[in-house]
Amino acid sequence: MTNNLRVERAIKNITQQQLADELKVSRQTINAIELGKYVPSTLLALKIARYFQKPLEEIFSLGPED
Amino acid sequence: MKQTYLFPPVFKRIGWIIFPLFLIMGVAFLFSEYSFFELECKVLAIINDDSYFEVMQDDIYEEIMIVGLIVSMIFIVFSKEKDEDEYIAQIRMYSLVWSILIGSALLLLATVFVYGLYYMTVAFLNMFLILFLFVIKFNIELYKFRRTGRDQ
Repeated sequence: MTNNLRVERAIKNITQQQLADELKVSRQTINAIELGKYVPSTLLALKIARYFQKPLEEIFSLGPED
Repeated sequence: MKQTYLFPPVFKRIGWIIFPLFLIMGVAFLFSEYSFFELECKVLAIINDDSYFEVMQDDIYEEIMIVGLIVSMIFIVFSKEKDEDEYIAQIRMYSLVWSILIGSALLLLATVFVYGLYYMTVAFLNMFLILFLFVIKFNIELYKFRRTGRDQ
């Protein structure tokens, strides 16, 4: 699964730590999601989408191997 | 929200404080049957060599050591982290799978290659093996996770 979380974060101009605090997860979790090392749960993905006020598919999409 | 079976974070600290004490007790006992103290006490033996449900007098040093080791390790790995989230839950599960596989592999190897009285030592160590591997693996993985770079 790929995501453009880093781009969305840059648009909003917030750090990983700020986003993590907002979503009540650790900063390393946000980092791991951005690097594609961790696929978040549906719950967390929906919270991220809600935070950026965008549909889920604009932030997360299936990668070639999925 | 999801139900978890984890203790509050303070239990992890308690675990780390008492674990070394019981570990020293355990190692000393294993290598030289050394006891730091004696504690005679009435115990209920549900099963003993030739009796059932008998209240008897016994030294409970070994019992304290084994219970202490297991409980302290349980506290270390099954307490919530201060920043517990779903990724840490996944690290915990990954480490658990790893330690059960490696622990079972070590037990299989020991079963095939260790004989005689030494196998009693294997059986004794095996009581703690999977939990011990879990403690080590989980904390190494947590350390690596916390260390991941702040690249923004």
